[in-house]
Amino acid sequence: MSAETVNAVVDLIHPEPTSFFRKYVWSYDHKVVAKQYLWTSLLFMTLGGSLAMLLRWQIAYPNQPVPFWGMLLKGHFVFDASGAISPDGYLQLTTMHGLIMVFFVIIPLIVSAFGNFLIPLHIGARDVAFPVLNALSYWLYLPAGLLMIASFFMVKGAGEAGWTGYPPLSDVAGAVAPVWGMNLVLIALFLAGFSSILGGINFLTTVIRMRAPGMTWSRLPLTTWAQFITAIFQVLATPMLAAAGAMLFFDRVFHTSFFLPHGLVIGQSEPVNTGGGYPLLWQHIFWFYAHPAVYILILPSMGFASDILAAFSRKPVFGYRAMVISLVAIMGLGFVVWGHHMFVSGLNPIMGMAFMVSTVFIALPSGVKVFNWMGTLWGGAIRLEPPMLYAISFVSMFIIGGLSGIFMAASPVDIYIHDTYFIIAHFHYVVFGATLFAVFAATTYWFPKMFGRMMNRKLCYLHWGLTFLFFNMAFFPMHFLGEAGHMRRLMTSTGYEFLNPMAPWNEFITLSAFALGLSQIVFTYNFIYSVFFGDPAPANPWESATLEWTVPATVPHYNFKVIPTVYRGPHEYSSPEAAPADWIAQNAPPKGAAH
Amino acid sequence: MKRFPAWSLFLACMFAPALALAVDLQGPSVWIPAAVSDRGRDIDNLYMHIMYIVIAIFVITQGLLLYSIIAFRAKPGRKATFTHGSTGVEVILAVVPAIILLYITVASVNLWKLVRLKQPDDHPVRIQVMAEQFSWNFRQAGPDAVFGTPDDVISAGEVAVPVDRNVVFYISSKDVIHSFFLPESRVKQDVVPGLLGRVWTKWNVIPVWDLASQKRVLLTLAEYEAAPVAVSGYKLNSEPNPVKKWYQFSDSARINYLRYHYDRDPEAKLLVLQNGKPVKVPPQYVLHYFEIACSQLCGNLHFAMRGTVRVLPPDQYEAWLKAQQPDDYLQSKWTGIWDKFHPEYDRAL
Repeated sequence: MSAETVNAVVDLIHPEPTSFFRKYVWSYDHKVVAKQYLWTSLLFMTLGGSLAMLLRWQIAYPNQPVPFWGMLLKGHFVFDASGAISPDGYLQLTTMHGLIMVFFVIIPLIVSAFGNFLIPLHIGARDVAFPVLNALSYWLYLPAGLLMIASFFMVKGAGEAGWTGYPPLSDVAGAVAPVWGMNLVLIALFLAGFSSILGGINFLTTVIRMRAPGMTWSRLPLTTWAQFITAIFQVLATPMLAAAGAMLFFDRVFHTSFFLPHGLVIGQSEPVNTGGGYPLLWQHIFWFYAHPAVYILILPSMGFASDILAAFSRKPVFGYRAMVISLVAIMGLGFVVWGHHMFVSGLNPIMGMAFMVSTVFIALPSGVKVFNWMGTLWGGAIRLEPPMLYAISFVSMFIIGGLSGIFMAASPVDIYIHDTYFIIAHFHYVVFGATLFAVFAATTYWFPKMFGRMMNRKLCYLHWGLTFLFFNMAFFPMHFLGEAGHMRRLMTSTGYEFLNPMAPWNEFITLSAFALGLSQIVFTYNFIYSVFFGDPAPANPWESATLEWTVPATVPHYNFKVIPTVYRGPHEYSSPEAAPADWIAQNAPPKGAAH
Repeated sequence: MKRFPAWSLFLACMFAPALALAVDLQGPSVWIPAAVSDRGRDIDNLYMHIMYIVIAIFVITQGLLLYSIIAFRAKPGRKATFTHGSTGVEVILAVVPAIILLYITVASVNLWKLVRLKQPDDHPVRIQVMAEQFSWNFRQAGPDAVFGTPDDVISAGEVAVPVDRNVVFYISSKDVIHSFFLPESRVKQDVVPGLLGRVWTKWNVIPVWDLASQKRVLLTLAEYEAAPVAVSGYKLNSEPNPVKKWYQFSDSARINYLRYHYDRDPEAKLLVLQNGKPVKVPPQYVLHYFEIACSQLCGNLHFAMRGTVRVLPPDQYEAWLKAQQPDDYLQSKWTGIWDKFHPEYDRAL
């Protein structure tokens, strides 16, 4: 069908572009924007991962020259004159690894890339509600990312106050070396935050206003439900990040004093702008955003896992309603638990007690989700295709990450394990173990729809095995380091007598992390090769029931020629209505009904 | 059944680190260091309670996942059960965890009150701690029990405290946020400029170094008094550990894995005490210390911000206080920064 005839028969939001620029660069098409996000965030993942490799090298082999890169870049960036990581360089690595992974990899990947691609297709819409805003949000994100990279080229390097950027360290000139490196990071976060807010508004409007006839709230695929709740977080919480970043930027550049108390002395000198500020103010504002951000990092993955587990168990999701209620509960509680990051920060202990109670109970909705995933598997006819394997690994790793969280919620125990490797193990189990496995699941599951081709199954299995193994080898021992008291963000722990015995473990972890990093080459190769040379995919390779699988393998610009009418829930697998098949599409008319 | 060996091999690999740890328990291990205070032991106790609960949930849930994958694999002719869930099951699966969480909450609240809200009032030793990039400064009030007077005892990097007495630390920072971490006491508190934090603990053991095994041991006051302990004349040395862990790939020198030992320092005068009196016998132990760590990122040399606490019997503690020489430079930090930073009522503490 040519573009003209399509324009004639369907009610298009925007016409199909013909020029390269409008098609691939400034595109309004949600599918193209999604792919822009996907490719960009995968590139950033390579960068963020490489930073992690460098910092792990320093921890295992303190002050030894880094092979190859150290020789090449001696005296530049994070390397000192001998090619080893410098103390300032090490902090830049940890800071930028964290910021890039959170703001430029995970959020764009699971929210912007998959949200953009899936929400309109899931609800039976031709595009998102505000296509121009959508393009704009990508074109805010990309320059923000480039600013992050540019900060490495500033005098004395990139931001180095930790990804949490606690003032006065991040605030006062002279407390840490970089000046404009840190400023660029703040501008980048400000832009990325706006990109995120615009995306959230867009998704909220799309889901509320543009659902196809019959697509009631109780028939939404759980991925879209999760994206919807995530969007609420983005719209309500991200402005706090922008506000915090702006205040810190003003402190640094215009010498205001939001976060600096009176009488501060850095080294021998008193900074010009101190007085009247409050360092904990930053922590409150930052964590008021960043704790919901933790849920932004995991909720969409929970959505992916729910839909994928149902599709490959050939069963409806166990407790759809409980799944939705728990999402809403996580959202509600998610806004009142930020203080658990501050149990030992100087927060009033009575406040700490209140935050402890809310924190312990946010485990409940997460627990409900885990039990429902297991209920979905139970009694199914499980097809262990690659997406399913990744999704089950998501559940398994999420359980570990969730259980280790209970230790931190109990504030007396948190006193001891706060700011140790236990915390690092915990959030890597959630963000790498859970979220990235869900991303692999989602990528392999929706790849046929995104690119019209199949990924190589054998390479997927190989990548899954290597990643699962080396991930656990790298991060599980960190629990033990943490309970032995090993603090975070030490460029070497061997100077402490009580930490020195952990040196061999740090080497073991580093080597496992290298193996984990190298394993991702398998996925990268598989992904890129399959985009161009994979086997052509059928329209519905997994026999899934949701609406995106009712459109052709290469999704047309307008998505749906006719806006579908929805008759049933998203996971009606093995329904008696479907017999003899074990699935029935959401838009298949009921038997006996007039079409 | 063909898949079983592959799966079990895989699981074995996954838990290899845990197995390795179990083997590693023999040597200088990676394990929670022994607690040296009552509150520390309470925290460990809560920690272990949570650990048992967590291990049980872990085994059950991961076991069920694995069982589901094996038992419910798609086979020709096998049909999935068509169900949308069960409200009864949902309620049970929400209520049971809620009860467990309630138990953890109540236990935590009770302990939190003890650790953070009930400051000891039995004439504790009061110590002011001023953190700076990248060292720890300590001030004790001296004989007149008032801070900010010339008889204050000021030290940097090392502080001494008496055993079996409550110690309250009043902590603040002159520049950025640090964190005052006493690993063995399970004490950690961020040191925030402009705020005066308070933490307290009571050491009830004295750390000494056993010369026979060249390992640190913890003695109660009675045990300490009974044994000949060298309080000076020995030096802590270290070299790359000649014993290689089986999971260690490189030489100890490369990863800076050390073996520590005390040796006789020929330049220092040997003083061995037993029952509080100098004795002429070869010492069994050398007086050792606990480490203070900074656990909040505070700048490029954060990793080197280490301090030490000497826990001493009462008489040696008094002697330590007397031995500290007045230092104009250190004194100027306190009068020039801390006393300006903090209002009258803070300074008096």
